[in-house]
Amino acid sequence: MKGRKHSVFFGILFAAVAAMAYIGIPYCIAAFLRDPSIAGWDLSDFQLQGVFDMLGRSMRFGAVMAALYFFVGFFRKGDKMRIAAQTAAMIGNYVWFLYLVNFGDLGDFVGFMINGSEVTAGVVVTWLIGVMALLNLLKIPIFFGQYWDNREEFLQKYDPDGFESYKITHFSDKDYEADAKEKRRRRRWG
Amino acid sequence: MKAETTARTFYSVVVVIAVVILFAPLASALLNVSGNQWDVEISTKSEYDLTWMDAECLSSNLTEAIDGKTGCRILYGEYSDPLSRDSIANVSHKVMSSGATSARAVGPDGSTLTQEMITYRNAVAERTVMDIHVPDIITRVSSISLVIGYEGSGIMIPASSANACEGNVVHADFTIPYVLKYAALAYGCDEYVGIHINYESNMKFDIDVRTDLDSHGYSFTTSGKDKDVISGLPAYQSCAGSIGDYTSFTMKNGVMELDGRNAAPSTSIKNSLDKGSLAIASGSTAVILSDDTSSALVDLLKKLETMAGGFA
Repeated sequence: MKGRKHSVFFGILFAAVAAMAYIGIPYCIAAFLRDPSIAGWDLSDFQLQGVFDMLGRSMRFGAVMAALYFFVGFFRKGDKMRIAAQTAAMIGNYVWFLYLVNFGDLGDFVGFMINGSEVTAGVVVTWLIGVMALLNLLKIPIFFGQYWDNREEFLQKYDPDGFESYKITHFSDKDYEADAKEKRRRRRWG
Repeated sequence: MKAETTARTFYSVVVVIAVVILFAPLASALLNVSGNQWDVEISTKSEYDLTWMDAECLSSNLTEAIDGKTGCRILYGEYSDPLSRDSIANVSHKVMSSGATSARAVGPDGSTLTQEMITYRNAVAERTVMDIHVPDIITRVSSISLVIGYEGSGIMIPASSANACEGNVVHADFTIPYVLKYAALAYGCDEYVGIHINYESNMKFDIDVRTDLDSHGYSFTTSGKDKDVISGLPAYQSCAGSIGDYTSFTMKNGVMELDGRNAAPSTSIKNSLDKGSLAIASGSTAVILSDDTSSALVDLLKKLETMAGGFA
């Protein structure tokens, strides 16, 4: 039976999960930091504007990430278009990270008072930009691995014509032996 | 094993290795800092370089050092004298006339006293020496720089020497021209010491430690067509000199007067700055200001002149 190649449901599900991760969680963290008394914390000595700015940047870019992840879910596992969507989401994720860390300079990230002295801590994460690029690129084998593992099932379910040509191009020794056995049986029994 | 599972396993291993390599040193340093070692304070041993002092300057430093304590002494050269609130002025004159080049104030138990900072003075500038005790994490810093600044004035003077010693103590030495200091105090700025620390090139810390200098009592007015007047200075300060080529200054009876010679002092200092670095000089003593500091002084004087109603 031929099913639908795309899934709007999974697209929406992926977009919702991405929205939760990129918008919902930062929003909850920001809300908590604005009123930490619910956990019994007192952060009145802390200057958290840098943290709020970072969370705000995450939320602003979150809509783009949700849209990109919609397409990741929309295309099924084993579909070539899913690799394209995953690559687009990976690039989007990297741009989100760059935007999040203000392109490597989180100056005045957090401030606090010690004995009446004002301490401002900043983070220089230019080195992390390179590491994140590497970690993002390492997702590509995952995309292709997923494609490789699910391609046959995808074609069988959603693209029977494609499945036939897939079988021809992916005819293994095991398949050949099974096929030869079947032919011998036919010759013998007619 | 499936291709996706293999790729995900490899990815997870790489992420774990990257996190450990990148964050382990910082985490280790933070874990080794115990709770009470996070305090930042300025506390300087009362050891004086007498070549930068006069009797009044030594007297004010000793007053701060003994801080009402009894049984203290001052050790200078091969001599020693007892210190009390009443005897400080006489002892200071005696120490300065002894020809000793250094002195140390000690408590009843013989340990060196501490004070917030040591202040030295010459005709045009004040030299401030201080030890800043910062968290132990400083032992792993890549670089450190210090400035003394006045909040809201834009004036920041880098330390002429700043070095970390004995683990978590930063020893700083600042030379602050009076003109800058008193203009900033007249503007109502709080004095602070800014410590900028780079930690293994990953983290940077800016620590602003407010000094106890009180800006109350200082005021600014303009006089005639070309004079700025700052009052509220210590009455004993007295000298005259120049700021750049077109401005002169005098300090007398607790009043500093800047004479712009037919122009607002801010304008005449700016004109001088256009020709090169700005020097504040009195007799053979001079201090050269950096371009940033000079510009901040010009801006600050301009603001003060505007606030005072400008010149007629």
